[in-house]
Amino acid sequence: MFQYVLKRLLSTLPVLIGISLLLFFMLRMLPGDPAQVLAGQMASQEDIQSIRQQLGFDKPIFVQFGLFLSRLIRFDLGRSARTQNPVLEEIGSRLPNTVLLAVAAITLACLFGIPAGIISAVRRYTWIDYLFTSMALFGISMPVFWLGLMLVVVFSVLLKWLPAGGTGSFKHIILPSFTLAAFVVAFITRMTRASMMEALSQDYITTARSKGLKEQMVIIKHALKNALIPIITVVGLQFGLLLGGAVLTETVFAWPGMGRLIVDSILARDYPVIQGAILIFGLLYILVNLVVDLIYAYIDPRIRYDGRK
Amino acid sequence: MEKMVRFMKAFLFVLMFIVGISFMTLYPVHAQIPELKIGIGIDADTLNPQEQTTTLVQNMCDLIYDTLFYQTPDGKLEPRLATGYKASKDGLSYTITLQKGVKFSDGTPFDAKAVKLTLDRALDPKLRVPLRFAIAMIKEVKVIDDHTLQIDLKYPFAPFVPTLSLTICSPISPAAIEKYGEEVRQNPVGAGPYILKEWVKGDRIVMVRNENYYGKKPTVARLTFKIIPETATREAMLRTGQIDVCYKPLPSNVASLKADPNVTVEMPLSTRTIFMGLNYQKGVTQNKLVRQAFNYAVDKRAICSKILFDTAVPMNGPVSSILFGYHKMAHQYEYNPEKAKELLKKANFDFSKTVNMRTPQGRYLFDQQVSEAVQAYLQAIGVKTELRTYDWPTYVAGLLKPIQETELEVFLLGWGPLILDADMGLYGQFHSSTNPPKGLGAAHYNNPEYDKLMDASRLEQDPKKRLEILKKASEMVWDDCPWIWLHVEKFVIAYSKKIKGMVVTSTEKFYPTYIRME
Amino acid sequence: MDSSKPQRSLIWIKFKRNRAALFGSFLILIYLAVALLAPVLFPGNPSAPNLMKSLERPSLKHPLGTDELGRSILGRILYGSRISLLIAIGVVCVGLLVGVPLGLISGYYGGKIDFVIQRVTDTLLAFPGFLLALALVAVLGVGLKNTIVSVGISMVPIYIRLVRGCTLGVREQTYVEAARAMGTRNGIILIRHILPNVLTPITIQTSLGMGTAILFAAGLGFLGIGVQPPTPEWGAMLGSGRAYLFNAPHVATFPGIAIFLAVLGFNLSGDGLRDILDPRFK
Repeated sequence: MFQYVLKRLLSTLPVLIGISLLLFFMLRMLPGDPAQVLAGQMASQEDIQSIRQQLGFDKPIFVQFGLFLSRLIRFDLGRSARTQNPVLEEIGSRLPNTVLLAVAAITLACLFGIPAGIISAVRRYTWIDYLFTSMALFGISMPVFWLGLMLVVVFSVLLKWLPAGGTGSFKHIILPSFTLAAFVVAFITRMTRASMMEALSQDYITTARSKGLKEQMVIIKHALKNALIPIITVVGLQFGLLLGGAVLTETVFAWPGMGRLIVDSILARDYPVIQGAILIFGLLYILVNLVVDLIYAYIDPRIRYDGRK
Repeated sequence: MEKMVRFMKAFLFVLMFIVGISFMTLYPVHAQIPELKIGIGIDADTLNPQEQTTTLVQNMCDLIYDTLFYQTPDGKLEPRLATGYKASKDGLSYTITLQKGVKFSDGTPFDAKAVKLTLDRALDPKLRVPLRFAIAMIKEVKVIDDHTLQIDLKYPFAPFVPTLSLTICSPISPAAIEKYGEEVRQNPVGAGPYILKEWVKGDRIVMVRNENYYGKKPTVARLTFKIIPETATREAMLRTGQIDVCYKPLPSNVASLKADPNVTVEMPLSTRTIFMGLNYQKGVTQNKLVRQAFNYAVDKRAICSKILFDTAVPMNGPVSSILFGYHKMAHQYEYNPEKAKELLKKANFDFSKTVNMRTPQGRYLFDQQVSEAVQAYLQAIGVKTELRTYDWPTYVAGLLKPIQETELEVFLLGWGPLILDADMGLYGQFHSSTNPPKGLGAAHYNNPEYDKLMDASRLEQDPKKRLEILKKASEMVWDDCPWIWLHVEKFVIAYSKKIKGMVVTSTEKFYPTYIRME
Repeated sequence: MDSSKPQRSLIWIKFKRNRAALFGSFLILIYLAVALLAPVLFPGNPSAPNLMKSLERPSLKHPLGTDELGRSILGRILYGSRISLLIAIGVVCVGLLVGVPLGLISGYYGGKIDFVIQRVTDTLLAFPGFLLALALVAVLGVGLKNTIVSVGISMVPIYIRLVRGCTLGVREQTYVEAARAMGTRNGIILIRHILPNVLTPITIQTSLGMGTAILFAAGLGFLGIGVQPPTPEWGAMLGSGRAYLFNAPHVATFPGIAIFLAVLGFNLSGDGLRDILDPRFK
C-alpha cells in the first residue's frame, strides 16, 4: 500500500514538472511588465529597472527558470511580486477557504445527487425520474456566475436573509456553496442513475431478489455498493471542474479563495503567485485522484494497488 | 409685552449659553469612543509608507506615522511633525524646523536624523519607492541640529512644502528600520496618533490609540479596518450598523444611501480627472480642429449623470477645481454635435478611416462604460471607431511606448495629483518632458511655448504671479485639446449619521482621529 | 462500416421518441433562427447607446428593458446569439481540428508518440479547463478570435482522450487488420476505417462541447476578458449588469437566461444522441 502510494506520487512528478514548465514560459509571454505594474504609473524608468533587478526579471529566461526550479525543489515558491510576502503564505491564507467551499459544495451535491440518482434509476421513466434528470441538466446548463447573482438578488437583495458575499460566518458559505454545488450535482446525479441502472440489471440482483430480500436492502446493499465506483470516480473528476468553477463563484461572492487569487494575480502580472497557485491546484487535483483510487481499493478488493482490475 | 419678548429672548440666550457650556465641559467624557469599525475593499499589501501607492493604505499609514506637514481640505498647510519652514531666495534650499520632545511609538526620539534617514531611504535607488518621482527635486538632506533640517533642491520647485505633506515623506522610526529591515512593511512604527495592533491578512487591520501621541489625544480608542471586498455587502453592513464607515460605496447606490436616515454620504470633489487622451503628434488627432470637434461631440453632462450617477462633474478647466492654480475656462466645449461635424468638415476629416480607441477596464469608476459612451458619441458624428479593452498591465505598457512606436489614437486615462497644486496636473501630463517613455503624458502634447510657461511657474515664488502663469498655461492647453476633457471624480464615503467631525479630503483620504459620536 | 438507410431511419424514429432530445433540438433551432434573423427581428443598431434612456425597466418599447447605456437588452441578446454561435462553432472546430488527429495518431501508432501526446494531455488535464482558458486569454489578449482559440485549446485534451480511447478499441478489429495485411497505407486506414467508427462519440462530445464553449466564453466575458465592447456578448452583458444588481436587476437577469437556454439546447440534444447512439446507456 505504502509502496503504491509512493509510486503513484512519483509518477505524478513529470506532470507537475510539465505544468511548471508550461506555466513558466506561458507567463513570460504575457504582455505587460510586472515591474511597471509594481512601480506605479508615474514611476521613472530607473525605478522600474531597479525593481526588475530586485525581482530577477532582468536575467535571461532560462536562468530564471533554473532558479525557479532549484527553489521549487526546496519547496520555496518565492515571494509575491505584489506584496513581497512568501507565496506559500499568500496561498496558505486562501487555500483553506477554497477547500472549505469545495468540500461544502461536493457534500451538498452528493447529499442531493446520489439519492436523486438512485430514485431516478429505481423509478425510471416516471415523472420523478424526469424531474430529477431535468433538474440535473438545468444545473450544468446554467452559468454559475448567473445563478450566483440570481441567488444574491433573491436572498440578499429582496429577502435580506443571507449576506451577498464575504466570509466570516456559517451564513456566508450558504450561497456560494449552493451555487457551486448546482454546477456539480448534475454529473453526480447522472452518473449515479446510469451506474445504478446497470447494477440493477445484473444477475446477482435478480438472485438477491429471488432470495426474497427486501427491495430496499437489494438496492442499498447490493446495487449501490457496486455502483459506487463510477460515482466516486465522477466525484473525483468533478474536483477539477469545481476548482475552475470556484474562480467564477469566488468572484461573484467575493470569497477570498484561490480562484480570486489567481485571477487577481494574472491581472497584476504577479508571476510567482500565479505559478505557485496553479502548481498547488495541480497537486491538489492529483492528490484527490489518488485518494479516489485508494477508496476504490477499499470498496472493491478486486482492485489491486497495481491499479489494474 | 415687548419687554416681555425681549426678556424671553435674553433668557433663552442665557439658557442656550449655559446648556452650550455644560455640553462643552461634558463633551470630553462622552467623546471617548471605544471602537470605530471601517469597512474597506482591499487588504493592505505593505504598511511601509514609501512603498505604498494605494490611497487607502497611504491613509492608514498617515494614521500610524503622521506627516511633516498636513494639507487641509481647503489647501492650507498645517504644521505636524514639522513646525515651520524657510525658503532661500533662489528657491533651492529649504530650512525645516521640527517638533521637540516627540517620540516614536517605540520610544525612539524623533529628531532631524530620523527625518534624514527617512528621506534618504525614499531617495535610495536600491529601494522600491513607486512615487519617488514626486520628490525627485530633492538633492540633499542635511542635519543642522537635533531639530533643524536643511533640504537642498536640484531645481526650484514652488510647491515643495506641500510635497512634504505626502505620505512618502512620513518619518519612520530609525530603531524599527534597524530592527526589522525591509520587514518594516509588516511592522510599522511611526509617531502618529495610532499604533498597529493586529493585522489578520485578508480579514482586518486593527489600530489602537498611541497614548504618547504628541498632538491632541485622539477620540477613538480603537480603529478596526474590516476587509469586505464586495461593495454591496459593505453598504448593507453600514445600513445594519455592523460597521460605522463604508469606504467608497458603488456610485449606482449613492442615491439610495443618501435617502437612508441613518447614513451620511460625503463626496468631496477629488483631484482626479478622467479624460480621453488624443494623440497630439500622430494620426487623425494631430489636427487641432479634429481634437476640438471631438470635445464638442461628447455630452459630458450626460456621462456624469447617467453613467456615473453624479459622482463626477464635467471638467471646466484642465485640472480639478480644488487645486491651487485652477481656473475656470471662459470658453466651454458644450455638447454640440452639429458644430463638431462642421469642424470635422473644415478639417477635411477622412470619414472612411477607423479611429482606434482603447480603454482600461475596472481601473476607474465605470471606465469601460464611459469609453463606450464616448465611442457612441463619436460614431454619432460620423467617425468610425473601434474600441478595445485591456487589463491594466497591458494597458500601461501600451501607453508608455515612445511616439515612434505608439499606436495610441484615442485612449481613456485618469490622473490624480497627490497634492492640491495644479503643477502635477499641468506639468505632469502636458510638459513635453513627460511624454512617454519618460512620463505618462501619453497624449504626447508637445508645445514649446507651453513648456516655457510651465518651467517659469516652477521658478516663481510669488503665489500671485504663479497663478497668473498657470492661468495662461491652462488656457493654452485648453484651447489645444490634447484630451477630450471628460470629468473630475468625487471621493465617496458613507458613514453612520452619529459620527460628526469626520475629516474627508480631496486627495481621497479620511481621518476619523477627532470625530464625535452623537 | 457504412450506415445503411434502414439504420438511419431507425435512429430518427428513436430520436423522435426521445422528448428531451426533441426539445433540445427545438431550442437549437430557435437559437439558429434568432442568430440568422437578428437584423429582421431587431431593426436598428443594438450597440447604439442612448444615455437618456439608461437602466429602464422592461416596457412595451423595450420588452427586456435597457442597460446602463440605454441600449435595448432584447436587441443585444438577439445579436448576441450570433456572437455565441460563432464562438461555439469556432471553439469546437479548434477542438476537433487539433484534438481528433492527435487522438487518432496517439491511439493508432502507440509507442513513443503516444507517450509524448499522453503526457502533454495529462498535463493539460491537470489544469481545470476554465483556468487554462483564462490563462491563455491573458497571454493572447482579449478579443473574439483569441477567446475562440483559448477556449478551443482548453478543450483539445478532452477530444484527444476520447478519440484515442475509441481508436484503441477499433485498432484491433479484424477489418482494420485485414486492411493492414493488404498493405493499405496507415493514413488511408485512419481515414477510411478508423475515423468513421469514432464519429459517434465525437458527435456526442461536439454537441456537449458547444454548450461548454458557450459557458466558458460567457465566463471569460463575465470576468471582463472576453470579446471587445460594444460587442453584445452575453457573458460580458451579465458582467456589467452586476453593478446594477440592486437598482436594476433585469440587466443581469436576461442575458443569463439566454445563455441557459442555448446551453440547455446543446446539452439535451447531446444527451439524447448519447442515449440513442451509445449502447452502453440504452
